[in-house]
This record gives sequence, C-alpha cells and structure tokens, in this order.
Amino acid sequence: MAALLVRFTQSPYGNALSQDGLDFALAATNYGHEVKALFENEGVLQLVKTDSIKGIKNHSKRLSSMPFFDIEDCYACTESAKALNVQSTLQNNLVADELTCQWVSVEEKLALIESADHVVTF
Amino acid sequence: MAEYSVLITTPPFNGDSAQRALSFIKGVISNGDTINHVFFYGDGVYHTNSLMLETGDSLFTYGEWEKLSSAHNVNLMVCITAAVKRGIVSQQEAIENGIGQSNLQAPFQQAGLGEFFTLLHNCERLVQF
Repeated sequence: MAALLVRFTQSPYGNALSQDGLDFALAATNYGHEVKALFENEGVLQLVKTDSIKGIKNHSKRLSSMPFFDIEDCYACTESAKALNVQSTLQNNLVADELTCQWVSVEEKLALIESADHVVTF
Repeated sequence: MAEYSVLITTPPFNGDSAQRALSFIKGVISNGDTINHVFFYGDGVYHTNSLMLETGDSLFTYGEWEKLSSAHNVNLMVCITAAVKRGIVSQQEAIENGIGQSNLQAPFQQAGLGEFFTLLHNCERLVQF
C-alpha cells in the first residue's frame, strides 16, 4: 500500500485535468492505496459548489462523493484562496463542508508532500 | 535497485515534457534500476496514436517510445477509457464499433487504472511527466 497525495491545481471546468485527477483518486483507493487530496492554485475553485449543466459532469458533486471512496483527508491551500481573492466565496459556498476540508499553510503543504510516498499533480 | 512507475499525463507537444520523460527513463535504465511500467493517462494518451507522422523539425516521440520498447522491453500501458474518448482505439474496438481504422497497436498495450494501481504496489517511486 502506498500513500498517495493527489494535487488538484486547475479550475474545475477549464480542461479535462480536474476530472482525470478525480477519476485517478477514486480508482486508487479501490486498489488498496491511501489517498489524500490537496487543492491548490486554481484548484481551490473546484471547492465552489456548482449547479448541474446538461452534458457536463458536475465536478463539485463528484468531489463530494470522495468520502464514500475512503478519501477522507482533504486539504485546501489558504495562500491560493487569498491570491485568487475567493476566501469569502469559499467560506459561504463550499464543497469542502461535505469533504471536511482543512485549510493549510505553505509549510503544512510541504509537510503533506513530505509524508506521501507518491505525489501526482492534476 | 529501485522499481519505477512512470505516469505520463501531458501530450507529446507540451514543451519538453516528453523529451524529459524519455531521458529520465533511459537514465533510470542505465543506472541499473527498473522501469516497471509507463502508464499513459489523460492527455498523455495522445502519445500512443500510431497515425502521427514525423515532421522532421521536432522530436518524434512515437518513434522514441517504439525504440525504447524494442531496446529495453519497457511495458507501455495506455489507459483504455482515456484513450477511447480521445479517439485512440485498438483494432478490436474499431471492429466492434464499426470504425474503419484503428490507431493503437503494439508496443502499446491497453490497460485500466486498476492495473496501474495494482502494479504501483511493486514500485518504490512514481514519477509524473
């Protein structure tokens, strides 16, 4: 068993990476790996709850299913939210509530990376 | 001797990432370590499209993967779901779906995320490009 840290760094609907990353994370726990998720840079925007649009998978809804796949440890970068000026949006409107996402500092992010066996970035 | 898993998530035309991946893999092998597998995922599956042609002015990565496979017998695995949605299909899928052309062939092998994560148990290191 490996401890994987999956970094989500892109906005939710800008490209396919966010979806690919989530599929990757959800599959990992099925095969006996431990997964932690870290949202940073524009990836913090994935934590904003979005409405469903026909023809596009609702990313925030899919993210909130992570606990059912044994992904309980989710982290979001405080600095990134500050830089994008979305702290207040995220506080009022957060998938993170359902994920019990923890806000982390840069130092804490580094510690997360250090503690993982493998780090992948999407 | 360390066992490596290589994850490719960038397309062949993304700056120098393909070149760095190939150099890295060759370096690992020449160090006496082992590449357990290379897994093409997400936009990385574009590497495996056999209909690409060499244009002469840049590194022809498809040919490089073929060379790598024949020289070192590296296991080149392609995520089947990521590939079919990007139009990269094996002969079997082409026949099953009535498509006139297939563009995935040896040395690339179709696999799922499940196979990747199963093999990852045997690897000390995972490197992503």
